[in-house]
Amino acid sequence: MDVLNSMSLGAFFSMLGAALAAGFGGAGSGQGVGIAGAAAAGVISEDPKKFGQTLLLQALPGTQGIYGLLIAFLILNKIGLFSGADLAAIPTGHGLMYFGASLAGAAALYHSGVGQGRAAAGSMGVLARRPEEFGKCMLYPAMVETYAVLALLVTVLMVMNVR
Amino acid sequence: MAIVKMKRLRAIMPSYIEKKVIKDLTRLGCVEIETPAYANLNEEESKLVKPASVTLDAARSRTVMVTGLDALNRYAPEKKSFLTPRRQVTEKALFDEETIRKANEVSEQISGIVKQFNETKTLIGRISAQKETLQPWRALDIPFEFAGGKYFSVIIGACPSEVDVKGLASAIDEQEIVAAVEEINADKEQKYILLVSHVDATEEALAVLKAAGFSQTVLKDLTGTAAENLVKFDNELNAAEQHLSELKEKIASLAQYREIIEQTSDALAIESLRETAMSSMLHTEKTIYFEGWVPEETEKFVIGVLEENGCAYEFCEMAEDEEPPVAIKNSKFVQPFGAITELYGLPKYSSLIDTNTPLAFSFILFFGIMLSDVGCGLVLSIMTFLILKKKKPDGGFKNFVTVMFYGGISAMIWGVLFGSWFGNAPTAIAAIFGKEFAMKPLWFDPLVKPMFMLVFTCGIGVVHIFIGMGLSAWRSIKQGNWKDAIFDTGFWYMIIIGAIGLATGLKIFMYIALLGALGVLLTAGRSKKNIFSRIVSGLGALYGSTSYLSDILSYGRLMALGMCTGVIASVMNLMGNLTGKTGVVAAIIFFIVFIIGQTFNLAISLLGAFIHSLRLEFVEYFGKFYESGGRKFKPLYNQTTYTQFIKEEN
Repeated sequence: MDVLNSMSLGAFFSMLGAALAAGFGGAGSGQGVGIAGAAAAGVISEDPKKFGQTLLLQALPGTQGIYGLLIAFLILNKIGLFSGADLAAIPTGHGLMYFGASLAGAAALYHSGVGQGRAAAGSMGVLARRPEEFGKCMLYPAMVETYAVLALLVTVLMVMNVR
Repeated sequence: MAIVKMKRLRAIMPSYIEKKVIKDLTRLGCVEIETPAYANLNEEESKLVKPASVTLDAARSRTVMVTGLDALNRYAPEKKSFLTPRRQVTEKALFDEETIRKANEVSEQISGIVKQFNETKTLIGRISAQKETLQPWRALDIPFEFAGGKYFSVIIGACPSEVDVKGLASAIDEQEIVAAVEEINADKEQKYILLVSHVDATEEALAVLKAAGFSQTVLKDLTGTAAENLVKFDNELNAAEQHLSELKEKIASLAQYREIIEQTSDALAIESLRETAMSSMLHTEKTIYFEGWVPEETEKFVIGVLEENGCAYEFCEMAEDEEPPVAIKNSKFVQPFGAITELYGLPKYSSLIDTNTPLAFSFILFFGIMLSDVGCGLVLSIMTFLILKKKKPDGGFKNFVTVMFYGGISAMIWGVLFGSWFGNAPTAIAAIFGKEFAMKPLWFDPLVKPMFMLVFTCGIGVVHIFIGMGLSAWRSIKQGNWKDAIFDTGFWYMIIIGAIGLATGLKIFMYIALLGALGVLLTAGRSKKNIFSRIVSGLGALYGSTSYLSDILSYGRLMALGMCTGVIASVMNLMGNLTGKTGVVAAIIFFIVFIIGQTFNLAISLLGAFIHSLRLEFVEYFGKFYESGGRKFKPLYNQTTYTQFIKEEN
């Protein structure tokens, strides 16, 4: 049981929080970008000239993964993982707070990522039939992202104020 | 600055000057020609007729040009950088008859070659298919035309691959049929079989085989053995391929005419625009009547052209229910941002508000805060500047690039204020050389003071939304509904200002907010007679305060996306030097990761900053006042794709 004894619960929960945020953000974006990509391929099979526009639309659900990365980076930076601080010295309470804070991000990032992917896939249909309305169909996926942004803000505010 | 005031033009001219007048108006570029509505015509005028057959020659010959250009681009692609500007031509040069004739000739020639090309391709397909069917019979050394002799017959055919040919042969033997079966070839699906039999036994032998799923193969028109035929086909294929590459070369040899074809394609495009305009005019035997829209400020130029050609015309005030096309006139700085308004849809002519100026400033602000990095901003503005200077684009693309240029400048300013230089690149680079250094933010670091940043961004949101509500109130006052301005905007101003002011702890703000809320409660349902339904409407309107709250919080995205750019950049810098070593090798590795990582960051952040700036404008801001649904003013003008028009030199 040496491993368990030498482990700091504070470090464990901090990293669990970081992993949750990055993991669920990445999972949501992965699924969302996948959904959008499948629709993009359909558009391209009809008109390869729209490649650039479909790529932009496909990239839209990709931000959740980045928000997850942002949260993870902020947590890891705060516990001093990169600057070589003593991880064992992280109080368990801090670790639990990081863990709690990341829950908001993880849940919202995953589901908004998937939802945004669906909205982007729908917009691909608009792009295929009415390419002149491209500006408008970029907006529908952007509406979904609001909730990822709100959750990100909550998580960031909580993480930055753990002391 | 404003939505341009439009006037309706009605004009009559003799038919023989039609082309000249249209040409002059196209050069002027400020008249939109419209099919006259029969309802607006008086009894005499309604005897005018639309031309029965519309000639669209230019559009037709343009498709030949397009085919020619497509072929040229495929087989002799032009080596041209993205930044090469378009060629400049004068109108006279563009419509030079000799050039057009030559371009037509060459395009026809290319079209002919393309046709031959396609035929050859079909031929190749057919031969390949035949080759495919012969492949299994390669080992059969009997010529196909040989079907047997007086006493025996030769039959070839195929059966499913699971059939046991040896078993079939012994079955035939057992039944004492005078026939022999041999397997020539086999593949995944089928076995290929040769049957030689006595003429009297053929039917019996076939019956045995057919029971096992055999079907006879008849190769018509083929003489000689399979191997001989395959050689013949190969030769034919080679010849055809040879022919194809000759045709390709032939097309490529015509590449020198690309310029005149491109130019003529432009000329014909303009010509076809004119044809379309002419097709919407009404005719009598010798005169032509047309209507159109002219911006008030260019009226005098149009009059000049009409007078010079001797047309009869009048400019009339428009009827009340008419919706003229919309054009917006702005200062040179604001004008490119009109492209953003157009993305959403132009404002209605009667909506009075041109919002391009506040939109331009807020868009630049939002874009800058969300990108907020000196490095990203610098790269963006240098790239866009190069495109503007070298390529000399025009139209929508120019507007977009110009908007991005201003956005890049703004991102640099905010990067300095927030202390983000490709994230923490200065610190990371200094660390590689064993030094400690940090770029101090000029104002504050959002990562250090996130709460302050959130308040700051939401503060921007309040101002932005207030401008939107203010515009709505301004329109109400202009239309004479000062009550709407006070009730629908003024009271909400009070509620929001009061609610924000509560943070200061002063009682006065609470009274302001309560007064505003009372005002909304009493006046929101003012269109209703019944006192109870009025109050219910008022309560409903008050519930709308949640939407103001979410609108303002939505500006928090300025903070989130702004932090993203800086943090991703820093993560890239961290990855560039994970080991924390110093020295030249570390510097080289860092440099490579830096270039790749920052390019990725720029692409991602640029997309985010653009889309979310758009969203804040379209949803939070436009939602307060904007009435879209305007039809874009599309004047007849010299619209070109490959060339750029310049004034005739005198």
